[in-house]
Amino acid sequence: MIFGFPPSFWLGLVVNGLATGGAYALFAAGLTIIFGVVGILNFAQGEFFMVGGFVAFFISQNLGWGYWVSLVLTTAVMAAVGAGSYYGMFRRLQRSPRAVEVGLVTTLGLSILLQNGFTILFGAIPRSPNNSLLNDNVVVGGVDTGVLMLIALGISIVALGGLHLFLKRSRLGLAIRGVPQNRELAAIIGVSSAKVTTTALAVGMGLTGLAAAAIIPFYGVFPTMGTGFVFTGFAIVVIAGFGSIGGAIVIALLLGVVMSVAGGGFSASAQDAAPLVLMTAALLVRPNGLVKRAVRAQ
Amino acid sequence: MQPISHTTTRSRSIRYRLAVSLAACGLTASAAVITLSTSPAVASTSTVNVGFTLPLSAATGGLAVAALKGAQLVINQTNAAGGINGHKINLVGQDNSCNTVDGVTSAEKLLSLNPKPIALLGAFCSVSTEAIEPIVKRAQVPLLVDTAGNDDITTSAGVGGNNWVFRWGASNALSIDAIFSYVKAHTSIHKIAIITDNTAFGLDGGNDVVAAAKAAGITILSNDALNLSDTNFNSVLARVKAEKPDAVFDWVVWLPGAVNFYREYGQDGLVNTPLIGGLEIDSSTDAIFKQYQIHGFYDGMFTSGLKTPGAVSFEKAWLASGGNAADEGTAYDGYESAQVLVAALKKAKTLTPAGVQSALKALSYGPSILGGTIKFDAHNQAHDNLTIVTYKGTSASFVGTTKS
Repeated sequence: MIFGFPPSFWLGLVVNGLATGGAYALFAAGLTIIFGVVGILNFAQGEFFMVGGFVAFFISQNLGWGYWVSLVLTTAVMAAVGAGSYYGMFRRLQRSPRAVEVGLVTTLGLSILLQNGFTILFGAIPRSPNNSLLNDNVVVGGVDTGVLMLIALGISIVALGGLHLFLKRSRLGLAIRGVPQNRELAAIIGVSSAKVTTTALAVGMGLTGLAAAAIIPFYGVFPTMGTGFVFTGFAIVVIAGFGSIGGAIVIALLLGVVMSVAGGGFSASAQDAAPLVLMTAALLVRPNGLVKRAVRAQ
Repeated sequence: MQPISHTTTRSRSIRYRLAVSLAACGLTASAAVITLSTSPAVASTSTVNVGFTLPLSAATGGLAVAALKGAQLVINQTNAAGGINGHKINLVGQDNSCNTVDGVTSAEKLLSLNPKPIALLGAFCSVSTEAIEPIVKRAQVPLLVDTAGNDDITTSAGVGGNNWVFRWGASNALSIDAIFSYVKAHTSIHKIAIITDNTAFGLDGGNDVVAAAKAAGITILSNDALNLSDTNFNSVLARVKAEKPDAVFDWVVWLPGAVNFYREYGQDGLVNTPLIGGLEIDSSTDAIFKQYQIHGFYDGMFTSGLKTPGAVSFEKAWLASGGNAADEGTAYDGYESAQVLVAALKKAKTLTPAGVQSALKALSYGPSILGGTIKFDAHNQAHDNLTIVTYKGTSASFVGTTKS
């Protein structure tokens, strides 16, 4: 027994934390890619996550095409939304002499607009797509875990692996990593800012959509579902260091576990406080992020 | 067990679900005055105005509209019977979006009506109600509070406080005490886990649950205040399950997260543990309760299983007016508010705010729909009956009433 509970209880919390952390990782990777390339903190990322959830619900439930198809199509739809958002919004914001401030206010306004607009259109009540695996559990090593949770974790691992290959092996991936480090130099050597930014937004939003599609069978879809995610997502990005994609993924998984253990081992309040406490501590110890340097050095 | 639609059993739940309007208040908070009666906002000299502040906007707007219609039903009946000493009543509804800012605005708009309202009804949500309290005190117009549950509304009213605020609905403390009375008398529950949310309502109720449980000699294994904007409660529920409580006491506001909480309660295998307290069982959660056959009991105000003369009369009048059964719970809140007010108006020596205040202080109205008597104590808090309902899945059974 550890603190009054068997080891399997704590292992269960870790698995739950990894599953949630996987979704956080997709979300935070998208957030940090967009910030790194666009240079604007997208406060509407949580609402794009929500939009992804509604798209996934529509595909899997209304169209009846199921969970797996919804994962693929939602990623594609949200990637298209991301690419479109460059021409519809981010390009204009980038041209502003006060792009950071204007971008912050604009994306904040967009988040309010989307959240309330979806509330008016669809109501505030969560809805979950039917999924035959929803109540299936597996017991591995005494740890009782939901099958869908494990699937969501697997999806995150595969997607993050794909992201890693894309960023490391493709020219566009290299550009996405390079632009945040030196925009001027990237432009001088012929890297197209528009193409890189569009791709970054497509990748970032696509990952966000995938995260939403992966988890809605057990968390449901509702207009305010992005609120909790965006705060935790920002905490992850701050702790990792702005623009650090690998760092965001590592921190997201760790934070998912820490939050799960804090909630299960202590209290719901501890679970909520964990990201903010860790973010404050990280800012005090390493204001530029815990893992930013290490990732950049790769 | 008599099947009863949960959608009509939880009038009390309505008061809390309004917090959801917070999510939508940014764009949807309406400044529009809604007047259901045909009377113009500026009434004739033989008409007295009564304001009703409630969260008409956003996702819960339909529920609040049902409450307003319930109140209008009483006003129409009263006017049809000749009014109060020949004076017709003009009921004016105003949206408060269940937040402080719009709550204040709604009260100020209502108080600016010509003629000045002789009383206000409302405000459903505790946050709006508490924001309005100083305004009605300044304006010296009585506020008859309905379902807002926070204990502060009682403690700050009446003796030594705000003499213009009266509450006929039960406070959180009264509701929770009633549940523990039932626990002690009818169950073998000795240890509980408490789950509230971290809103003012949830935390206020959580303190009451702790106090009532200790007074009843019940062991508290854990006490968690959930952030209902979160989606993942699995960790907390895994611990609660491992603690093996006899029951989980739930006191959560209606927010989207509450739906996830109930779903995860079922998924995480807690279905054999009774879920008791202030449940949010309605059309949004019915399917979850049915799927996982979650069971337990809760207290509330109006339920369709209640067959007091007042309840039968209310249901008949409501359905005859074109109201639907699903809205009965919310309509009851408005209906009973207006009934209490009209009873006070009939006793008032003058149809002025001060006259209504005096009449409310001396009022002894009954039998209420719940079969009790509404009489305000030194803190202007009434102690009507509450209903106890047991449930399993979507089947509920009216057990009886208990004194609050």
